[in-house]
Amino acid sequence: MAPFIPQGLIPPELNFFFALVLGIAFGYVLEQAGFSSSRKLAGVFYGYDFVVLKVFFTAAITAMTGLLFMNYLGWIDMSLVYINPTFLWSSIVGGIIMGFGFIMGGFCPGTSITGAVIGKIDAMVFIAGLFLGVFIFGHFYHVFEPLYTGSFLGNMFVYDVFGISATGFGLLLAIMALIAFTLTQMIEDKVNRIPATEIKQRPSFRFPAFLLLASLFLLFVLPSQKPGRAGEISPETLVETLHTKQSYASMEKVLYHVLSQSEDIILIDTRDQTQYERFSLPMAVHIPMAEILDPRWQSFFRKDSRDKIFFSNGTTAATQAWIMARREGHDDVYIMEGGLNALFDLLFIQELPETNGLHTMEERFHYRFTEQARTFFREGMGVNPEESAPAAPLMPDYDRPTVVAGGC
Amino acid sequence: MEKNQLGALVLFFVLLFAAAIGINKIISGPYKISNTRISEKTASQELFISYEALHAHLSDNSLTSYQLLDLREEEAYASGHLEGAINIPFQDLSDKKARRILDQQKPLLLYAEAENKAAAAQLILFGLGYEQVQYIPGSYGDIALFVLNNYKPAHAFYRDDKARFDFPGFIREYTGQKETGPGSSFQIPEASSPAAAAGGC
Repeated sequence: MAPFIPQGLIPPELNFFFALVLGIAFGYVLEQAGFSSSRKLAGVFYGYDFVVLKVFFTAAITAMTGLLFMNYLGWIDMSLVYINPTFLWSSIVGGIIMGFGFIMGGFCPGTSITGAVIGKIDAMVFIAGLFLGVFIFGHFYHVFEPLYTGSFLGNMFVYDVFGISATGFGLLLAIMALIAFTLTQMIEDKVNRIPATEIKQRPSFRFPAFLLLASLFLLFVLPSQKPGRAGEISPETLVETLHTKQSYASMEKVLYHVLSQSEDIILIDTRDQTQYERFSLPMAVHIPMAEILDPRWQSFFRKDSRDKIFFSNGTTAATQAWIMARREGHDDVYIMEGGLNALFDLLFIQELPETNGLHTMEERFHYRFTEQARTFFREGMGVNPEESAPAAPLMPDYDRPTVVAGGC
Repeated sequence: MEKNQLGALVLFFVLLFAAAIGINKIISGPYKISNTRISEKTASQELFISYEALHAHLSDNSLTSYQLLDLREEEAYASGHLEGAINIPFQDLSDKKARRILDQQKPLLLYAEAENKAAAAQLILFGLGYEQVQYIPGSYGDIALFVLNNYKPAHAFYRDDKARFDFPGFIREYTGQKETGPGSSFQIPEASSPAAAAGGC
């Protein structure tokens, strides 16, 4: 059910159940629309019954409008929805073949099943022919392959080709649909010779048509940027956390983690690839600051409950990453104080205080700890990430949902 | 369908979505710009203004087209600030009243006593709707030193977040050759320097 219901909320096995429910609903709708009758289906080619056009075009417009609204509200991320890629010539040839089959047989693949299950023999023959066609295609695949896989144009969108926005195209398509419904209705009445009196008695569709166009127009003109989400961390909290330094993690904490090779925190290097490869702290994960909101890292952030400490050379990139992470809702993120520059300064440049100048227990512990950290780094453990054998690189376990679009 | 039944159904859904949009606007909080858009902006380099550009503005007096914001405490501001800069201490940044002197449409430059505070303020203000906000790298001290007093092209792209050390090289160089105590028979061979060009014949 992804991406509408965020990944992970529903176990993938349950998808089969939803598929079953949706399939039954689809079959029910087709049957109720009369699509188990081949006469009704073929009517669209002869002009006496345009129900196929009306039902499918209406379904397309409804789904499109719903998706546009949900995309605007942020309930669905259209960039995660699988779109069939465009193979130009195979679509054209396949469409022609299917059109001929439709006229001759009076069914298309989906409706043939609805017809077959209510006992229509010609629908069953149609299905047999369908499988025969599949067999021929598979057996002679090497003949069809260049056509089947050729002219690949990628995931093209009509509105991209025309240079208009998705909502703009939605509005145009809805207008086209309404025009198509009106025209085909007129043709249908002419072919069936419906008397004018009967036509006048039909309910008017002006109100729902107006609503549809008005709402699509609204979506078209509204700015598409959705603002912050509900319950997002307030600017006051962000400012205060930064000001009172609650957002920082001390260098000692980071050093302790490195020395003890513990697994209780995660270090995240927010610099770019070149700098990370040149040098990074042992066991640090590389997430460049600009990629922090990438979906594959987001699932990692959500699933892992350990504290995450961002670092960079100074503190700027780490702070920027921290702000984005906190606005996204992750609370267990921190910024390493001083960054790598200060860390190196502490480990190598600064003079350790005189041992007889240390009075409190705390000072002595601090001295011993810093000395230990220095030895660790100077002995080369901190030099090369490969040499210090960090944990295996974190593979973000994010799998894109593959919604297989079915034919009809 | 019965007369007006379709109309009623469509109306129901339209109202449902309109209500959802309305609720969304109400509960969406103070941010005008989403986190995603911030992320997109960080991918480009427009977040800060370089010392070079700042110096250019100072030279031809075009800095007046910007609003300048000093995020330090009042005492620090009093002892010296960029000409024309207004003072809002960092902790008051989230206060709506304090922000009233700022114009959301005019470009805004900010600096603080530390670069990361300026960068943080830049992201927060951008999220609140200040479309054209940039931070000035470094602290005020750095700005005074590298731009105001004696601008040199070497400082054109100064940033706090650059590596001060050549980290791996530094470690190798610093730890260098292990000290061999007196009496040790082990002699660490010297790193072979590139052979001096053997001349001519």
